[in-house]
Formats: sequence, structure tokens, C-alpha cells
Amino acid sequence: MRRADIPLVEIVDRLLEKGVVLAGGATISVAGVDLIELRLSVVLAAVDTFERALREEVAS
Amino acid sequence: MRSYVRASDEPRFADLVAVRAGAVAALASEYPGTPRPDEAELRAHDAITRRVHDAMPSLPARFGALYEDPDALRAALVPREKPLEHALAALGTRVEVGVTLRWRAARPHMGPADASGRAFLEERAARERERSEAGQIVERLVAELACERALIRERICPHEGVAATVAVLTTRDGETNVRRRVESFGRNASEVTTDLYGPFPPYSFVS
Repeated sequence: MRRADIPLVEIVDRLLEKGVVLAGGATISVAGVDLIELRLSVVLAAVDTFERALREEVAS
Repeated sequence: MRSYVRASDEPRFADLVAVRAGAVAALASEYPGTPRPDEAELRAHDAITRRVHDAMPSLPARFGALYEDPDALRAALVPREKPLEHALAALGTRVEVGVTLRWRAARPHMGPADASGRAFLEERAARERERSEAGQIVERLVAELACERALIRERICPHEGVAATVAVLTTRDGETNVRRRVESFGRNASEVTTDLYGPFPPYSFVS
């Protein structure tokens, strides 16, 4: 699928609400409105969950 | 900020600055001012993170993270080196496929004209039924995909007319299988249609 075919709403949902945010030193701002910062510990917790799932996926 | 990659992959992109901290590197664009979330800027960020991910394992940065200069970015990166290295090893080579489940028939919702207490309660009950039904449909899709639940992220009723948006984490080799299973699900689902998007870098799995 060409990228232009992807509706803007699909991109907005991902780019503004998801993706890595380093906890310190950055200004997280879009048009002057601060976004909610995610702590990296949240990322780590998610990675741990995936690693378990991936191990089970490989084992099965 | 655009993407995080492994320093050992020696990232070199003509339009991106690479800031290294041990085993990881952050890829950023030099940008005057604050990016506005208009369509052109969002599609540019999407294109850059996808281009990086096509070239090497990466994690996408959320749109709108700004650092004053490379030193500020490095200072933020140094204490996060190990967690990012860990996350890159677990997720960096994977992609996410987006699935949008749209209701085939419009869901009746009352407008602002129906402002009575009874109308409000009926509206709320209808929304709850819609969410419940959408959740059940997502679980059927998960069963069709036959993959670990942890590799799936969903948002229930995120927009009017949309039952759910689902992100499926998979390998590049596994993408075709995901698409085939989603299309099969869509052909057999009487309540929703399915649209597939991507692959994207694993946005939904690092947030």
C-alpha cells in the first residue's frame, strides 16, 4: 500500500499518542499544547511482556 | 526526534543528525521552532521513521519531541541507553500492521437535541453495548490471528463508525500471514469491514 493511501487519522493516532518518549530533557509539545509524557519504565514493562510472548511463540 | 537505532548499525542518513550514547543512537532532524501537527509534518515524520525502519532495526519516536541541541539530546539519551538497547533487541526488527474494523451498519446515536435524562441513559447504554460488541469482535480477530495476545494492541470504538483499531506486532516475514488472516476474518465478519494499513515501525508497542 502506498503511504498516501493511509488515512490521516491512522497516522495521527500513532504519531501523537504512541512511540518512544525519553523521560528527561525534551519539550513534548505540539502546537503549544504539552503532551502526556510516558516514563521509560512503561516501555520496559511492555518489552518484558513481549519477550515472554516471543519466547512462547518460538517454543510453540 | 525521529527514531532510535543501534549505534553498531552505523546510521547515516543525509537529512538526519545521529547522536550516539554507547550502544544506541538517536536520529533527529534539525528543526527551527516547534513542529505543528499538520498533515504535511505528520506524514513527513511517518515517512522518516518508516525509511529508518526499512534500513535497520529501530524504535520510532513520538511526534513532537524537541531537544534544544544535540548535547541536550545526548544528556537525555545516556541514562536510557540500556533500556533502549534492550527494547531495540526485543522490538527493533518487528513491524506493526494496523487493522481498522468499521461497522458495516451505522450505530444509532442520539444527537444534542435529545437532552432528556432518559435519552442520556439510553445513549450511554447504547455506547456500552457498542463497546462490548466491539470487544467481542476484537477477541474473534485475535483468535483468527492465532498469535500471543501480548503482540496485539487495540483501541475500542476510537472514532464514530469504527468498532476498533488493532495493531499487530509481527516479523517482516510474518506480515503476509497476518494480512491473509485479517482478510479471511473480514470476509466472514458480518458486523464489520476490515482495512489493513502499514507496515509501520512498532509505534503501538513502545507506548
